[in-house]
Amino acid sequence: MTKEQQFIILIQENEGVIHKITSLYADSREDQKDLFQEVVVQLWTALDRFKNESKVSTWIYRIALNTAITRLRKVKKQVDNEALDLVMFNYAEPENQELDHKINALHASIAKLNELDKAIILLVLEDKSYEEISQIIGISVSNVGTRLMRIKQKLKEKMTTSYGT
Amino acid sequence: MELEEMKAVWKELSSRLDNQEKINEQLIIRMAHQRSASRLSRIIRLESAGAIVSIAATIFIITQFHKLQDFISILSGIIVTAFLLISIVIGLLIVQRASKINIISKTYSQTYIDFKHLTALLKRYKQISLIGFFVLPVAMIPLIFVIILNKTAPLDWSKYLESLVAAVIILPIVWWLILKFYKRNISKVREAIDEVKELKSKSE
Repeated sequence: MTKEQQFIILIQENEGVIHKITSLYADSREDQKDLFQEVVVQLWTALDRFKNESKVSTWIYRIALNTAITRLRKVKKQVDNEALDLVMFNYAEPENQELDHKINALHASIAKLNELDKAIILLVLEDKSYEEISQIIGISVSNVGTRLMRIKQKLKEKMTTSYGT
Repeated sequence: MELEEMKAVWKELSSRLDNQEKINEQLIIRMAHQRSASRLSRIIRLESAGAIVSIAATIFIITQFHKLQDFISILSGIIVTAFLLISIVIGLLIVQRASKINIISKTYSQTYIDFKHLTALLKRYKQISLIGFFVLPVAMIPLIFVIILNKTAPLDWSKYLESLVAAVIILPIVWWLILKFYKRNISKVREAIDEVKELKSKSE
């Protein structure tokens, strides 16, 4: 398999993950597209150096999150996406309005967290273990647990006060 | 909302994302080669900065030309001004040709043609700059004496010896560094174009 074919499969299989990260770290559709492109560039550049020392998903999350956090620090503004554009997903069933509301509320609340907390909660929601999260982000396992408790509290407060969920 | 409920909601979001149309193969590769655009913009930035400095220097020399009275200083003024004008023109041409290269939005063959135009111009620039690196230090010294130091350019060339020795040592190093910069960036752009060519020939 050529490098391009390997890369295409990698991106197509993990496109959803990259979209989730870009939706949390960039507000407008244009910024999200730019960030998506940057993540693809970084993954392509890093592909030759990937030596299967970690899982592919761990590697992708690490690069995508680093790219997003670096970009956010450069831009130096807080992401302020009030509502996720569900039309972006080409899928919005009218009878699931309550679920749509919860998705929006959760997404918007996560988007308001700082860059590191966003990364931690994203990985927790993606069912990553504390060890994996610590490998991806580069903090200790105990720090993951401590931060997660605070993040959960913040999210609960935001979602209750802003969205009534 | 407790964590378990958040996970369930997040899972729903994920499955909606998975149901989206997958990103096109060609677009993935073209995105990956966006890196080549940043290489080209480094060249553009360097040349633009060079052109601005050269324009400023040319204007300065022209406005001070009346100070050049003897044959040596007038000749040095003409040589330096001529080199500056040539480098401004070539620099701006490099900027124009580098800006035309766009792997993502143009066809492979057009990108290749644009790239060839750029490399041909860079080759010419390399030849001219090599001459310049040897001629300019000699030409500039009388000019510096008259315009900047406000002294008469000495006719005795032994007075220029220290400056010439410094130029002979420093300038080849500077020239080599600039050449290395261009070589590295141009080879990355060439790699990116070749990879897109491979992709295009597979999909046709």
